[in-house]
Amino acid sequence: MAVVALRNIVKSYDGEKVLRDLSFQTSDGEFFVLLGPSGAGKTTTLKVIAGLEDIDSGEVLFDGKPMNTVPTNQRSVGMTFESYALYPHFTVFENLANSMRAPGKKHSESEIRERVAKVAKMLKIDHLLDRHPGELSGGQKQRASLGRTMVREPSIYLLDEPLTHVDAKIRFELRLQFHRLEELQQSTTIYVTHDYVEALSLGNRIAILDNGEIIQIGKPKEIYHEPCNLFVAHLVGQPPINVLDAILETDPQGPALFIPKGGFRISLSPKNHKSLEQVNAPSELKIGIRPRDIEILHGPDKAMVKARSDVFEPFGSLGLLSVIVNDIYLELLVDPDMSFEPDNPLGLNFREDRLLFFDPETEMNLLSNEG
Amino acid sequence: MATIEAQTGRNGFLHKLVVNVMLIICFLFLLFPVFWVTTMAFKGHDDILTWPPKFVFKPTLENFHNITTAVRTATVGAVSTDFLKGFGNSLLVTTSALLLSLITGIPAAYALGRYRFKGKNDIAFTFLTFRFAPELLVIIPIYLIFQQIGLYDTYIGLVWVYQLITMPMVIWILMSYFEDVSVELEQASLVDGYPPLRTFWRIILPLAKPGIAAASLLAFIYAWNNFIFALILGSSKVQPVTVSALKFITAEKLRYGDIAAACVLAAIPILILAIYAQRYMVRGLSLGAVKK
Repeated sequence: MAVVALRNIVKSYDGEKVLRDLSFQTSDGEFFVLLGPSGAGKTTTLKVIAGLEDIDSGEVLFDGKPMNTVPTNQRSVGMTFESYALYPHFTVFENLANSMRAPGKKHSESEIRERVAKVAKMLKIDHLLDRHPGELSGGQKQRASLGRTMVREPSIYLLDEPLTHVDAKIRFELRLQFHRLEELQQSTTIYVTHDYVEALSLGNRIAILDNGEIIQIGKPKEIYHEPCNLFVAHLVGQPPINVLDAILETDPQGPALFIPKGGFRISLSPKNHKSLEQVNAPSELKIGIRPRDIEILHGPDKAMVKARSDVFEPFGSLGLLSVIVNDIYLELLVDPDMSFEPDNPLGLNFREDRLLFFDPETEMNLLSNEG
Repeated sequence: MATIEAQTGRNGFLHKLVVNVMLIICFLFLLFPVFWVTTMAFKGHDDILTWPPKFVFKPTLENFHNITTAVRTATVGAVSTDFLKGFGNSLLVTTSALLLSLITGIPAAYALGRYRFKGKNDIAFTFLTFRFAPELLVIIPIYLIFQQIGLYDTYIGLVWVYQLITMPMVIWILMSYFEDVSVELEQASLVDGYPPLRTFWRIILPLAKPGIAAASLLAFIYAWNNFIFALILGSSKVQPVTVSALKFITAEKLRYGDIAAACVLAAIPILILAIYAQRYMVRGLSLGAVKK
């Protein structure tokens, strides 16, 4: 277990900045997720922590000790690679045992066999120990890769997109496994992914990375309900959040948001109105509403907004409905057992308390605490 | 339907026949010289020279006997047979040249394949150009230099010059091989606690074995077959078997039988190696050449 801290890490590759002034600190034993799109610099960050990549400036600290000059093989980190990186000419047993046979380690053969057997059993690959990596399925390789890291018993686990290349069906199972492995839960783990579902499910805290910069760090609920900008709001959620251009109206009937392209109004609650006033919100802004926060009323007359149905995709446990309001398409999450014909008139109610407000230029969340 | 059947029926058969006949002709054309020299090695002197050429004859081992017994006489007509010595020289020089190329070339290939640095492509290409240079073009300057620095007629001199043949092979084949070994395997080994040198020895080298086998065999074959360097840069002390075979052209006559026997014996090591390494070579070359 260790506290990992990165301070002002700058890294360039071929003249281009890959990591820009990156700083964060985990707490001891935390499951810390790095979430971001491809190319954001997540894997590079992991490799910097492991010492596999150089940095231009900045510090990497484990428990307060600077690690910049410590070579990889002397850092107590374990890393799983996106490509698994299992040694093809070793058996699974030898792959797992490898770290225990490193120079400076004095383990007896029986100790090695015991630990490998224990880890293999935990990950349900004990029947595969005599095979070579080439004979394993994707899910088995992933577990072997994780097993190799666990046998090492590092202070810090670095997991690079472990579930990305695993079959969708097995991914669910393996994600649960991460929850259940005590070693991972008790050690400091830094987990990289581009899948927000994994991030929300597994992370104690999530750091959103884009273009080499940290956009926001927070607990999963904060990230989801209080995204600091449009990028974060859009990243977390499927289907992505609906974003509309709006004009803030303060007229005698009560404050409202007018959506020009949609031709409708959403009444603003006094609470939201006051909050927006307090931050000097511009009169033209962007609002975001998540698909599940829009309700369907089959009788369009009583509704806030009149729309027409477009495409309905029932997926067993949920249903995705696309609707058109004048010029705008909106995505909704609905009960999959409902039925919709295309081009039916529908009424929509927006859950006003779940609205998010963004500055049209900076795309920052106007009401967020982060600022 | 009937027309198609008829077409494949007639033309198909004809097509196959023509192709096979052509293949047989090519086969004969390419292998006949080998066949002829091999039979010549087992023929008595008179059988070799008769016309029309004899395909059925009484085989004899007198040629092999001639070249392997070290007969040194001063009488005219007798051949001072350095053949076995030449064979030994070939083995020594070729193997040493190959070992030297491997010891220096493998780390070089790794550096060129793995790291990015200024002039990398130029350096790599320069190594390749060693193979382009026609030996006849460079042999005279090299001869003069060797005479000056005293490397003429030495094993060291030959081994050094043979690097022009063996080194490019090793470096170019292994360079792409090392490029293809995933960096993450090395990184995984570092994370497992192994320092870089142990990582190279334990992980990278074993994975490059097919490439090393392929490069070694190609290099060995080309070095073994070398004639010009061997002829000009050494005299009878270090001459390999390619040059020794010349000795059979005497003032009296062309000892075809002896030459043929020498050719057969000299080819044997290569044949053995080539057959053994064939599977390695195809795998090694294609793995090295194909960019994923």
